[in-house]
Amino acid sequence: MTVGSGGSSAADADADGEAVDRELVRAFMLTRGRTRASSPELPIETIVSASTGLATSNVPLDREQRRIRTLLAVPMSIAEVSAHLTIPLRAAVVLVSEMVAAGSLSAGQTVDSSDTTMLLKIRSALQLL
Amino acid sequence: MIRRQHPTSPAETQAPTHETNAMNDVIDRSATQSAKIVIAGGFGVGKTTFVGAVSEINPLSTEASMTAAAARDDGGAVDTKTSTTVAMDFGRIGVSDEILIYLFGTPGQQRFAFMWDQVSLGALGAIVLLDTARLSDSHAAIDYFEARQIPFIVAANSFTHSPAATPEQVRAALTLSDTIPVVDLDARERHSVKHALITLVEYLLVLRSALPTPVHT
Repeated sequence: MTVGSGGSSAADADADGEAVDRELVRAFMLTRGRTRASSPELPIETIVSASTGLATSNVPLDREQRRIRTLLAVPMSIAEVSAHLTIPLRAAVVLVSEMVAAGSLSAGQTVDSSDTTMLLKIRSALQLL
Repeated sequence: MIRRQHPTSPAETQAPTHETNAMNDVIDRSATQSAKIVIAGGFGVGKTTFVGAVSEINPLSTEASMTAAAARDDGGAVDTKTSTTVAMDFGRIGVSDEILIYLFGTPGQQRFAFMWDQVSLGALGAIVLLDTARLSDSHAAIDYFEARQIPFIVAANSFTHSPAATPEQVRAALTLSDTIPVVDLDARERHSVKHALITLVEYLLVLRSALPTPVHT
C-alpha cells in the first residue's frame, strides 16, 4: 500500500508520465477502478464522522472503508482522513463521499461563502485569536 | 504516516505541553460546519509557514498529485528537487465551538492547475502569497482565481533578500484592480497572518455589501 506514498525517491521520478500513472493506479486500487464517486462529491474540508446512531449499511465494508470508519470515531475533515491514512486526496474524496451516501458515515455542512452572518461570525472569531 | 511540519518557532504556535496529549487535536462533536481558505503561491513563498503560524494542529500533509518537482517551503532559499509526490500542507483553526476553518497551501504553478479545482471548490476565498523578488510566480494563481471569480487578496511576504515594495507598487506591477486588497505580511508572525485572514474575510463582506468599502492607504 505504499506505492506512490511519501517514501518515493528521486530515482522513481524519471518521467512525469510514469509517476502520474503510478498515482492513478493506486487511487484506482483504493476505489476499485473509479475516479468519480457514484454519489455527489463532498468538498475536502467537510467534517465527517462514523455515524454511531445510524444502522450500519448492509453493504459490507472493504479494508480501506473499515480503516476510514475506525479513524472517524473522531470527527475530522476529508483532507485529514487523506493525511492520516496516506490515501491520495482524490481517492479519499471518492471513498468518503460514497460512504456518506451509503449511511456508514455522517457529514457536516460547509459554510456558504454568501452567508454574511457566518462571515461576520468568522471575522469576530479571527479577531479574538 | 503522518508528515508533520515543525513550526518555525515555538512561540508562534500553541503546541500542546505534552506531545502525547492528543486531546488538543480532537474536534468537538458539536463542530460540524467547516469552511476553507486557499493559500496559493509559488515554491518557497511561505505557504506552510503561514498555515503553521495560526493552525491549532501541526500542519498536515496530503498527497494531491504527482510531479517531478518539489521544494522546501520554509521561507528560505528555493530548493528544487526531484520527487514523485507533491504535498499539500494544510492546517485548521477552530473559530467557534461549531465552525472550523481549514487553510490549504496550494502550489501556484501552472502545472499544478489540475488540482486547484479540487482545492478551490466551495472555498470562501484565497490569499495569494508572493515574494517581491519573484512577482511573476504569482501570475498563474491570480489568473486562475480571476477566471473563476474566486475572491482573493494578495499578501507580500517579507524576505530580507527581496526588494522592498509598497502595496501600491505591488498592485501596479501585477495590474490588480483597485478593489483587491494588497497587504504586507510576515508569514512567521501569528498576528500578521491573522491580519491577512481578517482582511480576506472583510473583503468578502465588502463584496457582499455587508461592510462599507474601505479606503486603501
